[in-house]
Amino acid sequence: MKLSIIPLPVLRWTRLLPAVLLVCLSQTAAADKLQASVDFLAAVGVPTPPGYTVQWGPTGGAAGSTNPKAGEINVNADGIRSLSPNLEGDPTDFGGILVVVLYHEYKHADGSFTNTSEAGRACDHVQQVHQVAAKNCELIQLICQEIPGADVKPICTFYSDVQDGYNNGSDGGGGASAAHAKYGCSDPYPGDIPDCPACGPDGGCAGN
Amino acid sequence: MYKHVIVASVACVLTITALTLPAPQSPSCPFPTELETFAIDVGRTPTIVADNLRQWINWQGGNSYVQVGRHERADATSEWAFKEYMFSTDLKITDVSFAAGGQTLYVAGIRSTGNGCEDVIEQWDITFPKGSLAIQVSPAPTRGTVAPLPFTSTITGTVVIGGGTFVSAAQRIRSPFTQKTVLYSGSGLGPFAAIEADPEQRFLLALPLSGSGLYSLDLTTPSSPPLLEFDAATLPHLGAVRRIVAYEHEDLGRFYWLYETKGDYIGNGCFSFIVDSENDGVFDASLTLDAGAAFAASPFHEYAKFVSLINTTDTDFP
Ligand SMILES: [Zn+2]
Repeated sequence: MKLSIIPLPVLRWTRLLPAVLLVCLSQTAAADKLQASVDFLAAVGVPTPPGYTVQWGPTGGAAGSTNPKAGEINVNADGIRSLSPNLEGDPTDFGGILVVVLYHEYKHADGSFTNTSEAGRACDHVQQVHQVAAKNCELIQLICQEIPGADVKPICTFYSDVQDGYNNGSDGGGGASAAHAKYGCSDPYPGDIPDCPACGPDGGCAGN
Repeated sequence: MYKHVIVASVACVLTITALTLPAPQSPSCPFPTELETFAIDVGRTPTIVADNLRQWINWQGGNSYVQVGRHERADATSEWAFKEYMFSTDLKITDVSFAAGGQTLYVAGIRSTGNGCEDVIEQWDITFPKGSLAIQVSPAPTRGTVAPLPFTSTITGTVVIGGGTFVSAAQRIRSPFTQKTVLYSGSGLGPFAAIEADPEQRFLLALPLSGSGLYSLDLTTPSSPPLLEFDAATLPHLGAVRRIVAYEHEDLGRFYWLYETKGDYIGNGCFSFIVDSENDGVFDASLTLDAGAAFAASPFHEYAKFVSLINTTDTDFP
């Protein structure tokens, strides 16, 4: 599947350091969990964009936010809860979700998606959210491959909530395809976000 | 600290002033493109996080409905149950704010009338069906009277609407009841790019897209004329502002953060802040800071001292 005409860094998710993943997924304090997610991304070839600091912080309600002038990426637990309404439990416990939220913000911070006008912002996010969802699914596949029987329910729920918002509009009023058409975005529409085959029907890894 | 911060902000204010544009209006009520949003680039807004109730609102600039999502459970250890409610309006929405955990919504928008177009701000008081959970909020103090700090102390608990026992969403019979009150209608001042409610529901901040000034509406007396809080000469940055969010800081007290975007990418501009340190509903200061070094050196960057205004279970970040 063609993700975007904007080149992605070559991600080596499969060259995973299982130890890093385990730290990321295990029960640690929220601050450590966020750092573990940063470390995980770096270990799979997605370092924090130069000049940026990652921290828990205010985002105005969003799951994450990127301030290029201050060089900071903020992640917010309440924002994650509202982005993924079907998520149960505390999002600060779910390293996998933090990884995905961070990956989205990294795509703003590394200069890939930096439009602030309404039309540009929407066109950016049509591409960006699709790309990040693909990485989200890869991450789930990876977890299931490395840790058979892992509890991927939170990150699969997160994936499916993002998928629903993208494909249908979280308000049912038209999602990414409507935004793409309305603004005449120059990049081709990447298609609706497909189901992630790694997610089984019961919330565990498919096939387990 | 403040002197340093204010000096640093002057250059920023000068560059932003040139971006201030008048808001177009015509009888066909075109929706300002600056206020359009899509679900994919603007997320849902959390309105309450409690042990047994989580709620968020979702709306899009230019659409005519507000979606409310509620996760409820009988107690802090039961399974969550989710229910989504949709509220429609004849307004083309420009912004939505909330108070009382989201049981009260404030909705700004544009409406066509027989004579043309008008800008409208409404208050929607929602009563969820019998058996739902509701937030109990202490009565709002009069403006000018010091309010309790932090806001979350004014939420006194959750109760079951109609008394009796909690009924899961799937088993409830009725739809929510919504009482709508017009707080403002008129033309010339709006459309409103951003609104934000005082968490104690004493006033509602309203910012015209033109940036002509930052106004407040008296929530204790609906239809009172808008009161000018800050004019454009004091805050030239207002013309670039698209979002206002209430925060609280352990040392600074209540303040409102004025952003240039409703999205998650902040961009290369400035932030403005208006401060009401005693939380008496009377603003003490305003300032505009470059979103870089000036902001990072300011107390508004001390995130460890921020207190969540919506989270009753874990009031610090995260
Ligand atoms: Zn984004």
